[in-house]
Amino acid sequence: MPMRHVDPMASAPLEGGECVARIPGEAGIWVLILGEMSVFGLLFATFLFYRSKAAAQFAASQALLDRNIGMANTLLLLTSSWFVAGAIQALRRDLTTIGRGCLAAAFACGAGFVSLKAIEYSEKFSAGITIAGDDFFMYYFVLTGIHLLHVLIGLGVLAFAAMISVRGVANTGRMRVIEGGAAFWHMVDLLWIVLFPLLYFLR
Amino acid sequence: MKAILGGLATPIWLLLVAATAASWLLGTEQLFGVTAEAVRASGISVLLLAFAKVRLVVRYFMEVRHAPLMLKLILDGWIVIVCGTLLGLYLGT
Repeated sequence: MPMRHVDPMASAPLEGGECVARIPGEAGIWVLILGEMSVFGLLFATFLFYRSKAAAQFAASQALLDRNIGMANTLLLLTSSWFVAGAIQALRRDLTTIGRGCLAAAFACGAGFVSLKAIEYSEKFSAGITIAGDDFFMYYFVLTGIHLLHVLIGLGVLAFAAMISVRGVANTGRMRVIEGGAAFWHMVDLLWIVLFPLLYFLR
Repeated sequence: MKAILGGLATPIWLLLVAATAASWLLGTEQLFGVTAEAVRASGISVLLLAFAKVRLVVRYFMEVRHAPLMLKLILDGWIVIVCGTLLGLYLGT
């Protein structure tokens, strides 16, 4: 069977439709995503390495974390990802209003994550727990802090995607920018999916 | 609305939420008992569940299932290497 030519600007896969292999978004965004994922992979491993040196102390500090907030934040990010996936499907069909609505809902979920993180940090600070507390909390603040920075960047990306989501965007190069932004947001979700059990649940 | 609700995003989201609930039970309840082996089994399950969720996000939300083979292999490689390293470090204690 002859190889099918893969047009990098080929129209995006609509669910249920036939599609050829294609990279969602610009190729450059994937270089960034893979780079970020490699860095976080190293950070996760570093955390577990030092945890193995002081398991009892890490467990004692872990018990002070607020799992309810962590759980709520996980659900918020998963739901935001669902909205972003819905936004992409809608925008590809030129359902601009629904697409922008989904992006706004995803943004709201992300903003909720940031608010809960702020509450969580302030609870820790008022309990006298800081980044200088012990090794566990040093990693807790560094890892969640770097992740939070990515959430904030992701919120900017979502806002920008909503801004350029105008009628007729489906068949323009801008759709690829929106797809790249969506992929970045899903990466932010994906990193939290690993970070959450690592910090809150692993005993 | 069918464009959003009729696709795969909704069942995948439900699976992710269910897996999150399962991690919660594994991480907070003593499902397997209180022995060191039971705690370790919970820990392994929590890690494996997390990376199963990661693969769902990669494949369905990031649309890597439609991507060229190279990108699929790179992301599966990341999952295998990071998950394997974390399991090794966790079990090495």
